[in-house]
Amino acid sequence: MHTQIRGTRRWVPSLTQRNVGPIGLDLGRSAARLIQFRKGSDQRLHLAATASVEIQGHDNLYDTLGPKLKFALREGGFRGRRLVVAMPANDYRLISISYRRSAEQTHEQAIAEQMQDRLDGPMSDYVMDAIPVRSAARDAEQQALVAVCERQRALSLLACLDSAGLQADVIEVAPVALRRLVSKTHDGDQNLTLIINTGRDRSYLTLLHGRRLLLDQSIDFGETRLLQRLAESLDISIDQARGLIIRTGLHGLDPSSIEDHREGETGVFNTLLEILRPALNELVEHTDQAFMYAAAQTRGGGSASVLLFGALSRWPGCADVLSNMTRLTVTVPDADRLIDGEHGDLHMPDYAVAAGLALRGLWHDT
Amino acid sequence: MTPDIDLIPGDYRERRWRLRTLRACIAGVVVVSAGLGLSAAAVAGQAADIEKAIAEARKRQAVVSQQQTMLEQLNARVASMQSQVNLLDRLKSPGAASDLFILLHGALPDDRVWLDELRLSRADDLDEEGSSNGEPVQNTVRSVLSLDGHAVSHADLSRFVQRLYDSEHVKDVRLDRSTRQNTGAREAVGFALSVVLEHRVEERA
Repeated sequence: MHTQIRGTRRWVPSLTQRNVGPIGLDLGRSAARLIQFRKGSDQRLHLAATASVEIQGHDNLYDTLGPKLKFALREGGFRGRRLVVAMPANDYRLISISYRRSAEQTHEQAIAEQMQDRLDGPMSDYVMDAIPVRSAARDAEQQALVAVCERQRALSLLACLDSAGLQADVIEVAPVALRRLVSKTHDGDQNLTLIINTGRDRSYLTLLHGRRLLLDQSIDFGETRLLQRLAESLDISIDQARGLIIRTGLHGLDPSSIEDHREGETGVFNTLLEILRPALNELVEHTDQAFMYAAAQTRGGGSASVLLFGALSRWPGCADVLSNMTRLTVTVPDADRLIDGEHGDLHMPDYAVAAGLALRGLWHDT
Repeated sequence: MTPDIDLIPGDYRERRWRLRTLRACIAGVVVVSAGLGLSAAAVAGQAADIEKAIAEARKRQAVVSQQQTMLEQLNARVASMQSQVNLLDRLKSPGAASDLFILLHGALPDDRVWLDELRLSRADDLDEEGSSNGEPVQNTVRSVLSLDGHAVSHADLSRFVQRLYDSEHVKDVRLDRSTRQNTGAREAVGFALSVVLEHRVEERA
């Protein structure tokens, strides 16, 4: 495993500046990203520190991550030991359940009863926590999203952080962190927001209704599949395909001009788009399904928008293409909406989960 | 249910809280101990200073006592000297002469004895008595009164001498001369007496 500290920046706050929040740590598949904010006297958020640690493989992640985090924290100029971390996607499951509870039962007891049948082995082997999705009258059916992970994995993560000198206040999950981030940066209590967090191999769809988390779904779609398709079509390597797409981008085509581009076939943009369109259609289908689920849950109403995070957010023009294909507003979050003042070349979508984690305690979304 | 997720196991959180509390307690005990140690050191330092100050004060007190003793001795000496001054003042005062005239006035029979000449001389220096047994020193002034005169008869002379003896100040009376003489139409007895007088002068401060 090779670790590289890159994009390490330091904005050393003056001694008079207080309200430094916890460090947010997102253990992604290819990199661990850390970010820390501080609240200025004007209550606006300022970037305190960021760091990125490259990760290759998750098999023995917790055995080797501690020293790298320690180094990154020292070099990045982070303050304090308090941390909010997101459980890596492979280590937890987010399950949507419907349940009824009796007069004697608490929500936790009713949910635990429901979860017993869904888990292998005794409940004591797992750690779980739930957030309400839909609350109704006591005797009606209620819905919740239950995050569950193996107790041993949670303890391994805590031990790993402890070895790096960090103290985890909370182990969260990425969708909750993204919900917090979106609640902070986007207005609208009744709007539907679909967050597409694209990874290399898998992607995650997180659906929010206002500040309510409706759905979190992992889909078999990733950047690698798109690049493989491109590489095969153009007879180039995956790395060359990535370089090409980053260099030229997928500049958006107005729906009315798509036919013109098809006719011309002269632009490299069109070529790339045509190659990738079938794969992108899969994503659009998942998006449509998510909004259909949302419509059922919310009985329609409210405007809908899509936020694009992750690997595809680095592709120039990808958001515009998806906008055209989904006929929804697809945007890549901008750091300016969250951070006041200097933030360098911080690519917000890469740090979205970490930023949502770091906001916990600094800004309340409930 | 809270709107947030937390997957930290409850028992781990509780154990960590206990550990943190224990560390805080230990740190508190260490801090308190260090504080007490520093306080004790400070108190010890102050106690040493106080003891030093006490020793200094005692030294000064000893000096003061010594000076007090010396002062008392000096006062006693001053008192003694003052007493001696008083004594000398008394000795040189005319008290003895006045006593003498009172003595003679009391002793002379009316118109039967008359004196022609009277001389008073100091018989000796002071005799000190009683100084050895702790009693106040009583100084005796001894003087000799020489009297020349005439008496109508020897009986009158004898009565005069007798009266002199009755006086407490008269120690001795010596008849130096006695002659019968004719003074015009009358006969008289001329005489010369030596009267040893003794006055006790008590020393007073």
